[in-house]
Amino acid sequence: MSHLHPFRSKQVRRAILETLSMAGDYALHTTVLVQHVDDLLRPPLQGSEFLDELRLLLTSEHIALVPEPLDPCLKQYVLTARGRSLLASSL
Amino acid sequence: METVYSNSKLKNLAHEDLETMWRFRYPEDGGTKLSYEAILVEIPKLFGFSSSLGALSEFYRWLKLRRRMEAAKERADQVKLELAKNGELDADELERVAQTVFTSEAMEGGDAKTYVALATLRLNKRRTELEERRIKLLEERAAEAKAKLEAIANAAKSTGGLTPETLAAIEEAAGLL
Repeated sequence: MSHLHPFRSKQVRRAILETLSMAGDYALHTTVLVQHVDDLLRPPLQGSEFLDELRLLLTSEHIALVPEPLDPCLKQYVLTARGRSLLASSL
Repeated sequence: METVYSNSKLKNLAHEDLETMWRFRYPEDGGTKLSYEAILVEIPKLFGFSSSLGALSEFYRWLKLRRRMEAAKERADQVKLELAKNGELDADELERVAQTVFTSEAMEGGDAKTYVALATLRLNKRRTELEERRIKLLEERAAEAKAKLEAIANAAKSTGGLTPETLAAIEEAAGLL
């Protein structure tokens, strides 16, 4: 459960989903994803907002982790079909 | 697959209309950049709905990112096609290279060339590791086969001559090579 204000929580989640939707079938590394999400948001990201919402979206399977075979330390993400439906719904 | 955005009529505009919106703020040579206020006047005339300054500001941040991502995907797909023609990389490697190109193109600022060079180094290192492992497996199999053949030869010496069973054992050991 996110401890952010519900409106802000929704805003951050939407920005993550929208950024991943733009990547299509390609995955986005954490550092690239956070950069772009930060650019989309006003006010910009603060504290642990990004990681908190990212974790929630992973748990709820709206996004998925994609293995990076050449460097297991790098985490990259894609939007799932479930995530796409959420974007199209009342989020 | 096109994404539908529940919260924004602007984001759901058709591709050509998104291009029109882009040109309002980033005109081609000789064009005039419109203010947000001027664009707010144009939107109902063109698309039949109204917007607000806040929504427009958010929309243009979104559109800028979308265009960057579109360009990154196009570049990655192009590289994949070109490399596929050479036939040197398998399907997995093509996907990895395309992903690397996409990542470097999608990065804001940063040194894309260095990123690609680093990813290529990693790929080569991985290929070398796989090749070394393959060679090691072959050497192990050869050593195993040699040991079996020696055992068979010693057994043949003690019993005198090659029996059908001995020949079958030799064939099995040779099959390890």
